[in-house]
Amino acid sequence: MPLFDTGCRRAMAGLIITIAAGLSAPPAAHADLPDGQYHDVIVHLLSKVLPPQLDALHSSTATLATGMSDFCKSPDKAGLAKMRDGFNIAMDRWQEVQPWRMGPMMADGRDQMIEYWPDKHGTATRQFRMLLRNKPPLYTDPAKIADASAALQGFPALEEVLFNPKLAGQIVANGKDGIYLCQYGTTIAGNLEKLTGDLVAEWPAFADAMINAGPESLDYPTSKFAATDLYRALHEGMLIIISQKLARPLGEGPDDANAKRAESWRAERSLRNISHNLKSLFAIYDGELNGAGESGKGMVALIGADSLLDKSFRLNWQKIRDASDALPSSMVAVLAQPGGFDKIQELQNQVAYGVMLVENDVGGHTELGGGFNALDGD
Amino acid sequence: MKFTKILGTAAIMGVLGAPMAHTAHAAPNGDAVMKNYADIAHAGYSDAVSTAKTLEAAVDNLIDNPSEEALKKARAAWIAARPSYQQTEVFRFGNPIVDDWEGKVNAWPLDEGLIDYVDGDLYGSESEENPAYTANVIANPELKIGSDTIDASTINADLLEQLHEIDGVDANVATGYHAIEFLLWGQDLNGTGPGAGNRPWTDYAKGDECTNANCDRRGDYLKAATDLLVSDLTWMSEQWADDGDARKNVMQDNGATGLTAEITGMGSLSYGELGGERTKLGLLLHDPEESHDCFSDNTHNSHFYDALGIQNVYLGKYTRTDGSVVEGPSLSGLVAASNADLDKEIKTKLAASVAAGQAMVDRANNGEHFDQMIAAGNEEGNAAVQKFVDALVDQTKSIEQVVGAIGLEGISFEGSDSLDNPDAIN
Repeated sequence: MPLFDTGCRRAMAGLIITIAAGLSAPPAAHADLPDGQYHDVIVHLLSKVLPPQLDALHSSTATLATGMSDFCKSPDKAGLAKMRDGFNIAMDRWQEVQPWRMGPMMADGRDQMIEYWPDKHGTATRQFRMLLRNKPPLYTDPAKIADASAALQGFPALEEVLFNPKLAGQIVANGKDGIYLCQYGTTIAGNLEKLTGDLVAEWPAFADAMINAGPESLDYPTSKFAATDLYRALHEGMLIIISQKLARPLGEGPDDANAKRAESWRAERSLRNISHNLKSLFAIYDGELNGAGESGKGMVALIGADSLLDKSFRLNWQKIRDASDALPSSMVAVLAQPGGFDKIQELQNQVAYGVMLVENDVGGHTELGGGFNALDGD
Repeated sequence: MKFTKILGTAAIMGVLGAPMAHTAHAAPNGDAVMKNYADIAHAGYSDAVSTAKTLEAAVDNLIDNPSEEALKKARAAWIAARPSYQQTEVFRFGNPIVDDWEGKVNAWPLDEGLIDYVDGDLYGSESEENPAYTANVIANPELKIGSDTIDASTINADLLEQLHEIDGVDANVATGYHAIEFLLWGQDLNGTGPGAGNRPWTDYAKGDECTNANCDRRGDYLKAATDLLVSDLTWMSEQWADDGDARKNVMQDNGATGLTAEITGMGSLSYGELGGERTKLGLLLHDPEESHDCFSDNTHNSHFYDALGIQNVYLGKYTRTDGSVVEGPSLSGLVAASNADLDKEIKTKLAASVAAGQAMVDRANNGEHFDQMIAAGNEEGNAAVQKFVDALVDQTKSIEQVVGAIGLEGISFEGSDSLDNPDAIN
């Protein structure tokens, strides 16, 4: 029987806790790992694996910003298609950075400024409606947009501008409203370039603080303590996929499912986002992402690369990837198909099983598991 | 986002059941700490019942004798009902009996178009997430919500309970303090400028004086919601009485279960809920709707009393609405027995968050309310709110250390997408 067959979203969240609680007890006691082992994993992941991904994200947003500026000089359908492609390239890069929820990613709400989602209180929808009605100059001013609402300065707002057929049509028509929207889109893209540039600039100092964990550090007294951030990123990233990216649109069942509750539904890439998330999450475990880093030097180094546990984990993770790869990018399209709900639910079940493995095998054997579970906030 | 604890209580049973070694002070008995914790909960919920009954009487008067003065008195009674309830919010997380029930009385935020008329320009007419976004119960004796038809010809407690969180949408808040708040103040149409909701008293007037139509049904709704609030709070108060289930639960295992609940409640309210969802999110979005008491502009008080409630349970002391004091053995005493420095640190940090909350209250009393403080460009107001967030995050880090200090392992707190700022923590 599928895990998430019935019940409201709140009940579903409770189910996740129950599963996790049942399996989060650490495995049989074993010797403490030397702090140096945690140190080596931190060095590898924070200085070898992630920085190239941040650079790629920054580069893609810079390209998008330049492209938007050029496009708005003489907007047409072909140019719009190119901007949509540029959006998708940047979004792919962001979805591979998104799970690394630590340090400069979270500082000052930067992750939410880059992508404010989910819109739990409907605030973004309401603010965007007011923006369209009032068209305030604040949102076309590159110097001021960063001080505006997080909901109106990142990827979801740009997605609405480029992929909402009505708004995109106004841009191509190049009338008064379209000119404003195109300027707004350009300003968002420029803001994303700045936000991701700040992320690139601030990352090395954070990585150094993590790498130099020890008694002299005010922030990270041990490498093991610092490495907890990496475990949390892996664990929470998977729980976010289950509870926010899948459970929200699936709702209470097939009759209640609504793809518009999914991330990036307008750009028809909700499932593509998850695919990139999974790729990045596996890199935290494995140690290699897009050619950066080296397989076996991620968190797996703490449990033994090529150990029986590692082989089992990799086999199970492949099942998650298989379930993800079997789906197209668009949740809208999948849910419109007969049996589409079940296909997405199968992915959800696979990720839920992966969470158990992360808690039991990775969390237990690395001694970093604290029983965290990510759920929707109030 | 939330982090929910997974914690076995067996690990601390020995700690609470036996004297602690190498302690600076004699450790209070775990049973005694939890008895006092439950006594504070019972007193707090009883005060909430008492003040809600005063509100109920004021609402009855407004409905029977509508006037500007009657509306003012009802609003004042609502404001006066909030401090006692908000000080009980620290009991919510970690006590399932409270958390499962809490949404009936203090759910927030709400799509108020479910209940009554709204300003279309501000509120809009539809929501992707909520088919009941503009259902307007007061105006419509029959409701179409999704594929369901609901008979709303009689507005009573049963109908409100049926509508509450209907269609699985948390924002469909049909009951509790905030539904009543909306019915007393109406929408705050002032954005991040000064001023609260300004519903006219004539929304409850009889005959031709009635404004915005359906005054009788509006009165029925207000009456039903207020009566329900009293009965719901009474039920919770009973759970903490001598033979109540909530009390029995926290007294299990020499108080180990209760201690877990207490620490979880302090940390989760500090970090994810109050610091994150209710406060930091408002700063990120600069949106007046992200105010807990958004219709009445009372958010500063609600936040202050939440912070005070956290301090109350740690110190084991609660000052009741009538001025009497409930006081006894505390978690503070337990921590001091094993780590006096940590106890001192936590006391200092709890005092700092209460002071930061008081600073917001002071600003509000001088004319700048929470929705104005979080406005884009209001650097001083933003800073005052950020200071409150920082204090809450800071105290959470110290509360986490209680876990180790008294022998707990594996506990964590509700988190928030809006927080997790390591600079603020460290």
